Amino acid sequence: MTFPASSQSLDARIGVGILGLIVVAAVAGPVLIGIDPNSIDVTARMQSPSAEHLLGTDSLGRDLLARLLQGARVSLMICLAAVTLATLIGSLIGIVSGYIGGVVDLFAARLIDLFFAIPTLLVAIAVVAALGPSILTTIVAIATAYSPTYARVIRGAVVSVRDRPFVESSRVAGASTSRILRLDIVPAIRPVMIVQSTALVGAALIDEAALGFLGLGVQPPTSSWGSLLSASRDVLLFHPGLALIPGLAVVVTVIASNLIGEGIRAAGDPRLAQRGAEA
Amino acid sequence: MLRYAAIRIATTVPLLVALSVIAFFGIRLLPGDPIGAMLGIAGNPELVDKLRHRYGFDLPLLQQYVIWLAAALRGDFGVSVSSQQEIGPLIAQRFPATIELMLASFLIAVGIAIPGGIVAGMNEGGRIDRTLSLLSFIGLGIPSFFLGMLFIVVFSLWLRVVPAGGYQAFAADPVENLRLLLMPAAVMGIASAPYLLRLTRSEVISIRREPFVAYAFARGLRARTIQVRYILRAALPALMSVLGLYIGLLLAGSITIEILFTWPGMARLFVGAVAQRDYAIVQALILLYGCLFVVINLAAELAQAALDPRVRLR
Repeated sequence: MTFPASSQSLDARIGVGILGLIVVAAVAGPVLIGIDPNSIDVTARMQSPSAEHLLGTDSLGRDLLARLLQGARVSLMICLAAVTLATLIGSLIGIVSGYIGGVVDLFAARLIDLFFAIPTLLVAIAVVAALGPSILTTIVAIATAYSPTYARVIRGAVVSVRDRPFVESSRVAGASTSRILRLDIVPAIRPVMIVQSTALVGAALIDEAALGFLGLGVQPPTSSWGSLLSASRDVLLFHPGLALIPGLAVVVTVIASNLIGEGIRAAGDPRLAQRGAEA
Repeated sequence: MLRYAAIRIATTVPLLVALSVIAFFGIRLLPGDPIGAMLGIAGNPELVDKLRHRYGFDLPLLQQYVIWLAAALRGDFGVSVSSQQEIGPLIAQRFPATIELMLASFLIAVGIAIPGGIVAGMNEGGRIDRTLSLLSFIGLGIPSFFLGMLFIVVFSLWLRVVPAGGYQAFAADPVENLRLLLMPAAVMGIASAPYLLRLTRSEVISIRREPFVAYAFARGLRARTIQVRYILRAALPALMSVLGLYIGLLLAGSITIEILFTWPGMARLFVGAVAQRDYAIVQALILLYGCLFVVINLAAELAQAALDPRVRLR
């Protein structure tokens, strides 16, 4: 966005506020409303919102609000785990390939390029094809899909600091490779890592929703925002609320985390605030 | 240019080989084989052995790979384990629907995003720019299939102007084909336009800062002339490479959209095969999708090089 730096940080604070509320709802919500998200009541199928069921019920008479809050837990947990895993794998590949160079780098760079050309959702679906759908697979699939892009950025950052004087001086002083990586390289690229990881949060949420929607993510009866969207697909024309409410939850959360991401990016790079949005 | 093209094409070949290795071994490295998945744990061991032999799963993996790749190059992807149909024709049947949907959404997205990006970039910081930036920021947060659900609710459920999904072959009934194409294509185009708009905008902004643009203004040329003849023309090479990645994005987006609108393209085959662990189809489609991306990106890079000598002389 093109706002000056001050309103960027305001945006980021709004994002933190919204995301904070969603996290609180996910953590405390299921306890507060005290309804079992998996309790089936066939006499109360497809109900409209009422005092008893604030958001109505689904095709098996389960309380939508309870499933939404439970789904928030699952979706946010998947997102957090996938981003952490992608950060670990991506940084490891990026740092090793960027710092060591040579044949390893050549091989890794080509492989990264290959994955870079393939959209993440397709990579994620391929992982699901191999492992079978589950919560764990969803995490691994999203992490696998985003690790190459992550590694690519980290590799670039490492290459740009690798031969800087402060690294050279450590080398001359006789520091071991692992010491240089820990004390020189990683601290120098940490801002890049933070920006990249934050940017991944929104993308991971969207891919969880997409995998779930396709029926390849979290499997019923466990609820996640993706699996709620999948279940709503067949009844969209009769009971649109079942799709619109979890979908809206995804959209709001993604926009909130993108606001935070943009804010962090702008804080790290003042030129960005002037230059405006970039890819 | 010819030299550049030759080098680019030559470096693509190892990429395609790597892709075929990933498509084949990625699916096979994991425990269990398709027959096990097909029959379940209850499968009788004799039957399992017989079927494994029939599909060649008892051969060494490397040999299986070579046989598979050689056949795939001839367009023969084997037989679906679950439906016993030939995979080649199965894919060929669905390919046109996917391409039609992609082309239509591509035109819609380009029609929105390129003019939008130019206008936003030309009026950087102005009201139009801020509005478009805000809209595209929100748009980036909306998954395409959710936008599709919104469209279905609004246009099929409330306004009842278009059906919620379906397909009619163009050859059978062109008007009906286009009518059914309209909503999924619009959804995919609109959902992906923000990405393209932001890239166009930042490209336009960086070119607008170039001295030759300031000079054109100083000469008193009309704003429209500057936009089209100077800025758009200078932005074109970079947009070409962006479009390559963008088409990849569209192809991925088409997966959820085809499922939502029951569009009979490759996505339904793909998702169904993944759910049923029909390895032969999954391998064939990963290879096919992957090749499409690689080839589209190659074409985009070559177009960029053709338009911009700096790229090919670097």
